[in-house]
Amino acid sequence: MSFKLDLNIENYFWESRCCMGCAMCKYGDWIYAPGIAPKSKKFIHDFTWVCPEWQWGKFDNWGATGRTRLINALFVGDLPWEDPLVQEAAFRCFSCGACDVGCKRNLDLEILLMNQSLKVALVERGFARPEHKGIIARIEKSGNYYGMDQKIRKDWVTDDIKVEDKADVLFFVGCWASYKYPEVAQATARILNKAGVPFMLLDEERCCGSLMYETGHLKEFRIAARATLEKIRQSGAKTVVTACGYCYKALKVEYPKVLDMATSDLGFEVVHIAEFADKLRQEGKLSPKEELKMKVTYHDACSVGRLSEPWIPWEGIRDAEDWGKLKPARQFRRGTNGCYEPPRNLIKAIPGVELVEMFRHHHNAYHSGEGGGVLEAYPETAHFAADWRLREADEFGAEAIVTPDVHSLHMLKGALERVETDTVGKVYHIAEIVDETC
Amino acid sequence: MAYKEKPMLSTEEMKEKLRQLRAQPYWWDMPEEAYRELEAVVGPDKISREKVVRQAYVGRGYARELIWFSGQAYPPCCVIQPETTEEVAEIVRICNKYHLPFNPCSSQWAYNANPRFRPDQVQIDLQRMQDVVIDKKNLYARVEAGVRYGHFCQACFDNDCYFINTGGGSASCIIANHTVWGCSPFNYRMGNPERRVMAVTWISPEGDIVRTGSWAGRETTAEDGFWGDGLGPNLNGIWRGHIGWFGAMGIVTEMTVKIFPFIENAKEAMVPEGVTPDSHTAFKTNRVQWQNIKLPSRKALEDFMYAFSHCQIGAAITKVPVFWRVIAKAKDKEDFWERWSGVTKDDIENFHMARVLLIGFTNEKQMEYERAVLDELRQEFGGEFTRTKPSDESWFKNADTSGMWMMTNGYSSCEAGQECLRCTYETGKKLGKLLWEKYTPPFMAEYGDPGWFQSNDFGHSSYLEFLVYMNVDKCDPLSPYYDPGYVQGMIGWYFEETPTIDAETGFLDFFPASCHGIMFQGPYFSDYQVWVDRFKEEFDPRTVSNPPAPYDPEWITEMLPPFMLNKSRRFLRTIKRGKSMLLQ
Amino acid sequence: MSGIEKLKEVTNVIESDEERAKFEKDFSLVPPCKPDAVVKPKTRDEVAEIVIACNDNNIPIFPASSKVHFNGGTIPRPSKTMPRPVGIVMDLSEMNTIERLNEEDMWGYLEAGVTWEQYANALKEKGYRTTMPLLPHAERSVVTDWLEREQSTIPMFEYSEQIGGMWVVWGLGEKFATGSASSNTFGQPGNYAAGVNPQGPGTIDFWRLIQGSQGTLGIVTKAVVKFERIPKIEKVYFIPAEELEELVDPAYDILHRRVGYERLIVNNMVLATMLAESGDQILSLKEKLPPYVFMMVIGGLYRKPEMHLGYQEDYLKTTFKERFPNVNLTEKLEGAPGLEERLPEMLKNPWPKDKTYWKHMLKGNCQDVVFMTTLEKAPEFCEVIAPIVEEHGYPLDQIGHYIQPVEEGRACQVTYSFYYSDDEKEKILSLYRALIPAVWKAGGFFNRPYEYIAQYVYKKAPDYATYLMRVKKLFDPNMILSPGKLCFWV
Repeated sequence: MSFKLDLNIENYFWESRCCMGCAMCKYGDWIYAPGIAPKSKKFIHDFTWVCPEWQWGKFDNWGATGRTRLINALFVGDLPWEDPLVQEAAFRCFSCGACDVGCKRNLDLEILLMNQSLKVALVERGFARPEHKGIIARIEKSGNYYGMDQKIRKDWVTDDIKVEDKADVLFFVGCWASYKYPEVAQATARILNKAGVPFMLLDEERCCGSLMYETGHLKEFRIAARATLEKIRQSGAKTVVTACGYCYKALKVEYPKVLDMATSDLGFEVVHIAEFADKLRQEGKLSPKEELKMKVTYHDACSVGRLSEPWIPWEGIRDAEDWGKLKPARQFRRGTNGCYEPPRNLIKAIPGVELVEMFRHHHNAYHSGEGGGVLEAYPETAHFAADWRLREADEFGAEAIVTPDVHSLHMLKGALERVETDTVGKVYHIAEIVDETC
Repeated sequence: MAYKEKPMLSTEEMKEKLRQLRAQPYWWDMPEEAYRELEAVVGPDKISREKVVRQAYVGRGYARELIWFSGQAYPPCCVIQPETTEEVAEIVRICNKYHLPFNPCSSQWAYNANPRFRPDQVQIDLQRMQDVVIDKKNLYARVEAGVRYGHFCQACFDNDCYFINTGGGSASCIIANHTVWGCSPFNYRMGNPERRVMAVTWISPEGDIVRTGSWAGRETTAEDGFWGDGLGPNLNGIWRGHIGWFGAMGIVTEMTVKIFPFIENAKEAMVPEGVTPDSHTAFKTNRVQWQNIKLPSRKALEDFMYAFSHCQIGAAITKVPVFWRVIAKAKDKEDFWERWSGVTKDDIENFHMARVLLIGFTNEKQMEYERAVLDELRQEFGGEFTRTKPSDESWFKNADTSGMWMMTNGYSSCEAGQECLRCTYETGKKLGKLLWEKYTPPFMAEYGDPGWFQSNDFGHSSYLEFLVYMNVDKCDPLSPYYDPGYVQGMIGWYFEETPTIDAETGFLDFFPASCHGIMFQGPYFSDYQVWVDRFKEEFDPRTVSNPPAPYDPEWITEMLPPFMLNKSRRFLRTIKRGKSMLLQ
Repeated sequence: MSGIEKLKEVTNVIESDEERAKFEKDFSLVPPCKPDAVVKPKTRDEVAEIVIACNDNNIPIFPASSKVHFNGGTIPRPSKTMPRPVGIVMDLSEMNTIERLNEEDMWGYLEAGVTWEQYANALKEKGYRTTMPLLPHAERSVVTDWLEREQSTIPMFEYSEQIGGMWVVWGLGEKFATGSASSNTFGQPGNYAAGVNPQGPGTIDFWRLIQGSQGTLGIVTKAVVKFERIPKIEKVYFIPAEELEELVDPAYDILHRRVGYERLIVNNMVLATMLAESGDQILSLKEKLPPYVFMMVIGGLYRKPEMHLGYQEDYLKTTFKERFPNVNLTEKLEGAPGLEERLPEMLKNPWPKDKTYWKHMLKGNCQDVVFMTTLEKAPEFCEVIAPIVEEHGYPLDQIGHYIQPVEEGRACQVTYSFYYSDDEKEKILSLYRALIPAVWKAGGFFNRPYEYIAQYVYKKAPDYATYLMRVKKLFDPNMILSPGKLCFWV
């Protein structure tokens, strides 16, 4: 059948029929399967999951495999769209892509797009979560996630930070860094200053809209995307740098996706501060000088890692007469080329730091709990994920977790207040630890 | 056939199709009293009769193309997730009390793990049972029902041991797999699956807790599970033979399994590396190596496999189907087909490659010795070493799993079993020939490839598995490209011709015992169905343990839709269930 | 007409006292009981006819395949409650053909009566060997010993023990073939099956049920049994020790590193009985030997044997020595000159038929206590049994003690041997019966529950016994086969 790779649920009938339940959406890449936990010295099943929703819920409807059966049942009328548990199963999904990447290790199914399309389909049928609707309305009205005054959005800019009126590099700050975690914005800005990279800010930066996308509000997201895209293009920026994983993913991947273009057609490059800073480090423009004697671990936020490969639109047929081949062949986004090494390079370059890997890292990373609108609608599930990620870091004796995403930072800091740890005492954004030591 | 655009079926059209296929109403509500009793066992959080939850357990795993698509798959009436053996036993007793069929599952990788033909099964989902305790010194481990190979294999490395990772694969649960299957090239040194099983806690179909092996008569299973023989006869023989009952003979909740000495500091020698889809386990190649050897002829390959095995070197020797090698190189389905379309029958007929695993268990010098012997063998048989990656993407941790479906999204193994190498050679050849000459199409062209086979027990026996690939759209009544004639074209292969080859060559195939061929195989392999019936009647008198597994031909002929079994339905009715050879 | 008379319609029934007396007792402490008659079938068909006739006439059958018996397996157990004859012994020792040696897959097709001597000699002629228990009696049945769970002295093979398919007659007289021997056209042109897969057929593992059943579920008339190649070169190493504990960790290391073929631990009493030319030499020889010794034979197989031997020796002389600097690894054993030359050949052969069986050389009789445990626990049992042995007036320093590691040290079979003369039977029986619960409570596992062990362990495992009985009723509903054994008390 002919179709586009988009967010129309009908295009994922094939996925809903071709999952055979291998559990890589549950446990990820088997090559990285965890064994004995180093501190506890025993097998701890809790560290094996890559799907936090499924880990929380335990029954199979909470995971991608169950979701394929669920979607199939909706297609054939075995289940009604009205069933509240249909909605709950869909909206408790973090859209972290662990299932997608796990599945694509060995197969070619578009599980994340299928999941996401389910959310879109539910919203279109009037089954959006009220929590999401409320926040989206707030974003539309105020221009930011928190419903705060846009006028104070740039208050994070302190006197020591130099911002240009016009530059090739645009720093897209994002709502969370602007309002809740200004230290991240400041650290990012200082990195650019220290490296001698002039940068500008958007005149009126509004929310990138990622929550709209994550929660299936496609119509609203397209409006936000078009508007922000236009502003960025008008600014003349050649490179957009961001420290927020969700802004990064939204600009680089979701905007082109919903606007039917390729990432390469944006007209500018979107980079994460970790990528940018590592390049500066390699060019000798940034060098860590301060020693930091600490054992740290790096949390691969999905938005910066496995989900950040450029978007490539596709349209064609699945030729049922020819073994279901896609024609033309599609380039699959499997999470291979996520931003994994640059943050690690930055960390390893800091004198005195010891980097340890957790069980679940790179494409196989466990989610930290903010994504898919889950925190907003089902905070207990979001906290559950964050708590387990923190426990994992503690199992490896890390004293700090470093993350590239402000949302992860928020979740892990919250977990630190709930969970008793032996070693973990701090959560850094990658920009903070780089700024602190350079 | 040229592509023709056809629109997706509407919901109404799909509903109508399913109405015709399904013999029963899809949803069934269980008695309230029974639900409450089950809920009291595990608590309200570990049981659900919500339709969304139940739907997740439909038609999973292997052979979904034939089972789920044909309307055989139904949701359970509830899903329950016990955490202890005592809970499982109580659940089974309640099911007996209410004559509710139950279906135990863990990985749900096997086709019988979810309800077939009936919507009234209680799905006992054992995935919360995740305990693993390893006794490195005494080379065994205690595992619970939910533990999967991938995790357990790493836990073994962490203890300088290793374990099998069954073909197709890491997702399987160790207990489930050892109750029904359990083969891997590592059987070469590790032996038959049933001998890897030691002490077991078995919940009989009536809900009795029976402990076997060195757990028999003991107060606790916390220790003492070091040995697997019986107190006299070994009762493990009830619930698993050449193949298992697929949940039709009670439930095993925990077992001790043998683990095998590997190399010292195995964790550092077996390092996961790389990013998907190229992640792999990198070896310290002075102690662990795969090596591919190309042989000049089929005979040379066959003789080489025997000779290698008799030298008692290596940790595995296997010959894989050529298309697996192409899958391993292909980046996606389309890439596979681009490579595969260039293959000819001559290529397959002239391609004879063995893959061996060498492990310097004792020391590096052992590796040197084994390589020297391997090289001597290579020269003797005119072979040639070919480039081999110093890493593993399959047998140690990943084991293919869903990758086997990459080519067409529709696959099944139609033949799997153990006999001597000669028997597997000859049987594989016949199957390859039959597939190519008569059943291509409907199946994917394999150009006469004789299947996957390997040596077991240092050449004393071997394993053969034969895989076929089908067009998923043509099998799927819900696809606009569905073709009932296509499915009919496969029936003869599964139900008549491959079992006949087994009867001729004497190859003891798993499948006749579990599903399609049993009614045909009986007269050819003693009269074991008589015993299957007797055991089933004795130990599951109410027939509540996953009916109709392992088989029930009368039920199957009634339940399967007409298009599925028109021809074989007649054949089924003419075949007598096996009678005792003496009492006929 | 009595049942025995009706039996004569289907087979030759021997009722002579002389023949019956052969099975009245054996080298065990099971109370003697003369069978009503003895039958000696020559074919499986004949076996089946006899079983049917016995079912029809309520005559118990006690099968025997060996020519010598140590565990009371063939002695009838008359029923205390059922009015029926004592029963017959079905002597299969004359079904002793080695039908074929399959050199390609390395399996022998042995009738039940084939002895160790027969099999070992037949294989030797062709350059092969069979793995075997420690010095089995030459006239023991190979198939029976494996069915009774004797352990091989070679713990290197992980795989599914020694037996593949079997041909059997069940309790109602139904003929059956197990595993992949079950193919109905087995052995015919075009059928390539070698009967080498012991599992199934189908969903039941008949082999696991039959093994250890002591003839209570079916009568095995033939089986497929593995054999192996003989190493081209062999070398022996010893580790003598004062205490068993000293040998545990070194043994684990050697086993886990997969070094060697035969490996076992013997005490001086056992070694003395193995080496002495006559019974009167044993005790003095024992004094010259170390209390315990770990013995191993390392070998080089036929391709690059020097390299094969070499890497194992390299390990012993480097890694092992570094780990265990105080362990005395030696190529000769003090007190046993020349043993290093003789041991490999000794362990490849059964005990010579023309010599008194080694366990009987000291006093004429021997009662073994055999159980499974782990290597690290093995020394504990010495402390457990010591007070009981002393209490029964048996000299502690005359206990035979040997340990056969299994499957690279996963577990081990422990054997304590108590030697006695005819007038000491009661004392030894009392000792034996006292040791059984002590061993069980200390964690020993009786995978060979003969007579007195069975009487004890099935009370400890009633659930297991219940299910065994249910299995028994499927295979032998009329309780014809070996009634009174295991938990099948009648």
